Amino acid sequence: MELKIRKSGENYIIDVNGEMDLYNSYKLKELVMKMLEKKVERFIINLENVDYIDSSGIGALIYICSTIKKMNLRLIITNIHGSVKKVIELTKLMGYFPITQTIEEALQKMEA
Amino acid sequence: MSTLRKEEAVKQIKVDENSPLFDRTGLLHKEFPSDFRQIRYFTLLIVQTAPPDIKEINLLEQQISEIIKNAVKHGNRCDMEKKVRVWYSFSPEHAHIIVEDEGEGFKDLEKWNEFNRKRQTLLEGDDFTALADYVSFRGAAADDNDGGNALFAALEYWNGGFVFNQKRNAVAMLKHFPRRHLGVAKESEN
Amino acid sequence: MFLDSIMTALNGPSLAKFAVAALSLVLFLSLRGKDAEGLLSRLAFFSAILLARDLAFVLLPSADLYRLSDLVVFCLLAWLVTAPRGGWALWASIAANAAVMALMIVKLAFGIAPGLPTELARYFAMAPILLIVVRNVSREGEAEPARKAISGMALPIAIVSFCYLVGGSILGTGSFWFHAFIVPVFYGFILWVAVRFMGIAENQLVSAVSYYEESVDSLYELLLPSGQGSSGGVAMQESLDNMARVISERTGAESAAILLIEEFDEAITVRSIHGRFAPPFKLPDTIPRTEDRVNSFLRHARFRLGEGLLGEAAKAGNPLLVAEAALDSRVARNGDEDWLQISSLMVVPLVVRDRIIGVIALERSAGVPFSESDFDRAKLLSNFGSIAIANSFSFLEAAERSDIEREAAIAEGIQKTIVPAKIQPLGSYSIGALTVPARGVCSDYYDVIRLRQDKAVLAVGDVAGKGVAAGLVMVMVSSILRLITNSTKDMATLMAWVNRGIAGQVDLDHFATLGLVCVDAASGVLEFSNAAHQPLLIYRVDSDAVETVDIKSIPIGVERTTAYQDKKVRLAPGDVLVMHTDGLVEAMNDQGKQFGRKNLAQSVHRHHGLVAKEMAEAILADVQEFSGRTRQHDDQTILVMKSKP
Repeated sequence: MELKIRKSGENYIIDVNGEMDLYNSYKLKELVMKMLEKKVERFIINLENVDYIDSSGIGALIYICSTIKKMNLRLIITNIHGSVKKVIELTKLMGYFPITQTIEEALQKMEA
Repeated sequence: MSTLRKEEAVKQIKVDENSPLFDRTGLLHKEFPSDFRQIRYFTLLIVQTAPPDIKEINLLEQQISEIIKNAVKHGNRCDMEKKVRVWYSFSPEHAHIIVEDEGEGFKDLEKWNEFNRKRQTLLEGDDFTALADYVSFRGAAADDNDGGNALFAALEYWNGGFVFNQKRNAVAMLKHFPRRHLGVAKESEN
Repeated sequence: MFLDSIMTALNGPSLAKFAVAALSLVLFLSLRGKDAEGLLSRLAFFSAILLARDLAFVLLPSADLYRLSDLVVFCLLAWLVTAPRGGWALWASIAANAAVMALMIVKLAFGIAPGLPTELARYFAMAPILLIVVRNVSREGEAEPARKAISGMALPIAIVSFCYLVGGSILGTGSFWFHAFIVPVFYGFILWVAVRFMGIAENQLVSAVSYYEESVDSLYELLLPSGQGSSGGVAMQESLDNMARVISERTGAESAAILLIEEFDEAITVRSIHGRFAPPFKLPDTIPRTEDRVNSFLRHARFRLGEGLLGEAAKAGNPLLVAEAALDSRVARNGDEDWLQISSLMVVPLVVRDRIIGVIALERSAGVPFSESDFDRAKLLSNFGSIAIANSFSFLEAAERSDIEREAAIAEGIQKTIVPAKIQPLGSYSIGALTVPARGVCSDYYDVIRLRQDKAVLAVGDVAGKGVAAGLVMVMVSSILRLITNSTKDMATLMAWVNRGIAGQVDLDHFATLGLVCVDAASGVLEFSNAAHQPLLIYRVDSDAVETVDIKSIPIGVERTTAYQDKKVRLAPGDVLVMHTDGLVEAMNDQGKQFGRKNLAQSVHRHHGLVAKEMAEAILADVQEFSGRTRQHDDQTILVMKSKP
């Protein structure tokens, strides 16, 4: 799994490439924690290139989501598709995670 | 393949030593050492015999990997000497798996069921704030790497049943795949 | 003589009325083919009757008879105007007239009741006309424009008819002016009414044609795929969006939503939204009434079949028009915001060959409600749209199926290419190898990499997974091995290098078991390394037994830094080395039993006398015999190396 960061205005977009499984999901958690330390306030996690996620990956997203919520910062997850979407649906977390279809929508929502 | 009636809305993990889901006749069999590093490899070995239609890209693989992970990590505590035994069978209409470990069993099963009941209630009420406390189940031995959500998905996914044996160290599950159809038949009028 | 009378009549005052009647007859007869309803046939008949009675009058110039014929004429007229729904009133008045007529005939023929004026007949003739007027006053709400037009003319027809009768009365039925003037005018008026009616019917036809032309245009727009060049799911989404837009526009809806039945479930989900679609179902109170949140909720909305307005339509498959949504309790009112208002709603199920695949809902938030013709248009377009969607699904399925077949074929091709076709003997060692792939799997691999005339590396492996992905890993392992076996490193190191080569690749199912044996035919020394592969089986001539050589290890591709071990064994002349894959020992028979290592050892023992190639074949035959007709679920590979005895 590879993680790349880019910026759009004040929004930090994390592009996740590969699979989020029990061996590497911790990397995303660690990255977000580091970014929080660096006072990043707006996160967009782009899962466009992720086509596999297991409970550890979901757990990482849950952890990130709740931490960011607690700190009153903003997070949006975008571009979930295929089995990733199915897993989130199975765990009934579609309403819990702030999700948009595309990065553009996410950026718009961030401004609102 | 055992033909089982589709259970409606499986909302709790059952304990049923005599469930027909534990019938191993006709199932393929593999055994693995409890090596945490190889969990995805073992899963792949099992799933590779499944027909492509039911794999749903990699959803079947992911669901099976969770059960194997639980057996390796929580059941056998990653002890290489302990084995994980898997019986399985696939067809375009079903997936049937039995996973057995050499551990002491899923002790928190009742607690889990209660937790899940609460979670279901919150979901029905669309109460997302309170739900935040119920998205992840923390058992006694859970660590940071455990998502705590695998079984929620499993109960939804394995629509033909999800049962443990009396000792709770073996779990059997079944999924029915309805024949892929387009729409539903129109009921004849009057 | 008859002809003379006719000619005289034509030259006289009757010319006009004959002309009009004949003209009408000819006109209606020639246009008869155009009229499906048969009205023109009836008019032709009526004209014929008029012509006939006037001809009769020429031959039998009796004013009385002419008056009686008026009874018939007016009955016919009433029938023409009110048909086909004259009902009992029409028949009653016809009956009355017939009775009077009979009475008059009797009087004239037999001279009974001389006091009864034949003029009476004339006034009875009015009865049907009055009937027409009365009936058509009550036909105000007539929907069909042609009939409405006729009804509108009922009064003029009645007035002109009355004038005709009164004229006849005043001037006298036999009078010159009556036949030269009143009668032709009367006939002319009827002709004019008929032509007007035809004109209206013509207009109706024209507008119907233009309605259908427009429908055809809509269909064209609907079915013209806008997503040229996009594939699979994207094309499907574009089709759905296009459909929602076109059907909205062509029915004058402000917004639309398409919901489809899930492929594996009995539920419908929202798949496309056009415009600001207000949910016609009750929104949970917890959803804030902002366009954003409502839209987001809508996009993820899901209904069981039969649940709510939309679920109900999806289940029963009946189209629904709720013209005044505000008055209908089935349509939810979710708030006062203007974009949440629904003033008119249509829900049309999407049906293909008696299977309901979803529904489309169309809305107007204000203004004129949906009309019947909007509803008809919506149903027409939905029917065609459904076919397009169903075709897309079939196409997707076929594409997937052919994709899978193609993958399997490619994998098979890769395996055939990588695996050596013929294996030359190694010094005094003969080598025979066989692989029997299982359908669609093709993940077993073996190779003999020659280093020198009498030194080689034997490799047998099983890539996890199947299809092209497994094929790729196979190619990688094979390539790496061929590159590195030229070095003088030991097998454990080689194994570690191969492992490092394929571990850490992103997104690939990159696991494989692998067994490597470096053979030195001159010395008989075998160096063996194993990555979770099946152990070696060696038949020893000395002990006439089969021994197993194993090394516990993990597959390649799991961890980059795995350290592997190797072992050395020596082959004596006549000894046989057998390498195999797990598909062989895990082969099942119909009792669910696996072939197992014991059977394999026995098989090796049994056939140790054969040449390497034949031994391999014999062992596989044993496995085949064991499995019987049970389907093979994994590749079976065997490599036999025999040292010359």
